[in-house]
Amino acid sequence: MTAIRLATGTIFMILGALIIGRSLWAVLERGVGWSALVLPILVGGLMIGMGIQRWRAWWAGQRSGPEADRLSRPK
Amino acid sequence: MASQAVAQREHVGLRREVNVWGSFTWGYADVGADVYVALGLVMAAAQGATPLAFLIAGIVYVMVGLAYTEMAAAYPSAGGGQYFALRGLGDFWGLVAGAALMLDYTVDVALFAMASAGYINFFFPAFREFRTTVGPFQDVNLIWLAETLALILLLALLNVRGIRESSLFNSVLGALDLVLEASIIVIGFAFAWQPELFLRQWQTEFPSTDQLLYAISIAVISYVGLESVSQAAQETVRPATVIPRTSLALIVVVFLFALAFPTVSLGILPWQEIAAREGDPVARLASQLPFVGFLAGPLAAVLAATIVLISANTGVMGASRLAYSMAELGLIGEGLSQVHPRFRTPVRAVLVFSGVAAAEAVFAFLSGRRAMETMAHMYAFGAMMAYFLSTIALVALRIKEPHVPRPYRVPLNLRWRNVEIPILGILGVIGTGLMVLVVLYTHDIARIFGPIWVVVWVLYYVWYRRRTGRPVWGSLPRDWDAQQLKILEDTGDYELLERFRIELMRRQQERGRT
Repeated sequence: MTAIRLATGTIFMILGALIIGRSLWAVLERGVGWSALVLPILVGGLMIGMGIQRWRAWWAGQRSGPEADRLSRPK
Repeated sequence: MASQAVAQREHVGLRREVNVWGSFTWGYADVGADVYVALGLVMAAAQGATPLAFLIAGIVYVMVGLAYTEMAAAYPSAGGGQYFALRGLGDFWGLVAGAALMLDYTVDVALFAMASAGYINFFFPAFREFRTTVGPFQDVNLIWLAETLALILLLALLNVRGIRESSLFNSVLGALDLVLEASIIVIGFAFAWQPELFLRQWQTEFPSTDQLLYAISIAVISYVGLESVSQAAQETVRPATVIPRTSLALIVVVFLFALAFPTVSLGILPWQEIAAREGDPVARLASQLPFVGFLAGPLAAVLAATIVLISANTGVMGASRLAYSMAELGLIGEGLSQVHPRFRTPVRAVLVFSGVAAAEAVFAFLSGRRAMETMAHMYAFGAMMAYFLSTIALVALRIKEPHVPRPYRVPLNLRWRNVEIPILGILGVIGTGLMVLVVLYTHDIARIFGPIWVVVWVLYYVWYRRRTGRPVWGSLPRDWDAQQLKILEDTGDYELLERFRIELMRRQQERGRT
């Protein structure tokens, strides 16, 4: 389960970067208004944030062991 | 006879067997499926600004979601929003919230059974396009209606059999749903998304303010379903631990997917093409994916048909459990809350509310080509009304019951005397209040039938309370602390129970001193 979570988190991070990068490129290339970037940045940022969160949770679990991972969950 | 019925209800309560995955998929089956229905409807109104409509509705949803997380973890009762409103605001408002939710659950059954049939018809275009005239009603699709009614009947029978089967059903298909939605988003963004098309539609196809408001009020239906997690609370194992994890994960995943879907759609297809397929928009989108489109379209249609059916299933479960809770709290008669001795499910409630859903489906189809839109209007009204009362209840409960242990608290609080006022909760009240106004302003059908539905329930409530000699506008005397102790004992969260007992003793000592 952890491997799946990390793999999908990584894919989402790459996708997020791709969305922001390609939109930025389109704006620069076609001269579209900068306001058009708001949504791609938001969606891409959320995807990147989701991936980072999964890696952070995994990293915290690795550093502190399974007991700390259990305790870090909301009670 | 009545006391016998009460004793029977107490003896055969709801079983506690929903775990973390079950709770998540129960909620996801409901919330995650909404986008399959909402995408086409919202796109028809918001055009190039569809992601913006989903974003604005999503911001309100996040605030409501956090409020629900706090209350469902602190008060794990099958009543959900209705129970919170009753406990925070009194019996009458509990009834109003219950009526709004009941509308939502029955519409959920009708709308999602309709959507499921719509996705089945991806394979039968002739069924999708079939139209006939029935008396004064034109453009009625009788085949689609028959399919919808058959699915409602199937769900009613499934729920009469019991929650174990239904939860398993939800879990497996909820997982498939996650995989499907993630695959469409990943493949779509990676291989088919054209930022130029997306940016051009955003800039040149922006709707009018009225259209955008209308779209936002439809987009809220993409986020309805957190209620399901609360509804399942009374059947969830260790809810204080499970519910915050489930709800927070749901909030993030659903918000992300609800924004990603319209964004990827507008980068692959012109908005008109999605809007034209209100019955199966996601299948249309999936069929446009490169490499896998020939397979993804039909696969998406099959999975979507099944997934939205789960959502309809959560509606049947939700309506019956809400009736159980309302009867337990003395808001409606006990007949509907009776639990079948063998199946241990509220059989009467399942059958009655499935019947109501079937009637709503007939009503919607008689409106001709706007069948899904009609249901979406009612769905949005019920949800926003209930969410509005629930967010008020969050603030009221923080003031009235600061001593109840809360395994999760909505972030950003302002301390005032001994109470922590939730700023996001107050913003949630404002947000949902504005949404109710927008729904009433923009939806011609919900403006009339939504309030009528609530008024009918209020009239029944007045009659019932008078007949049973109970206060109509006041509340029944209840020992909430004793009830909380019982709830915590039932949940098996002994740490929380101990904290609550200590808090009660401390308050008792304080009272003794004064």
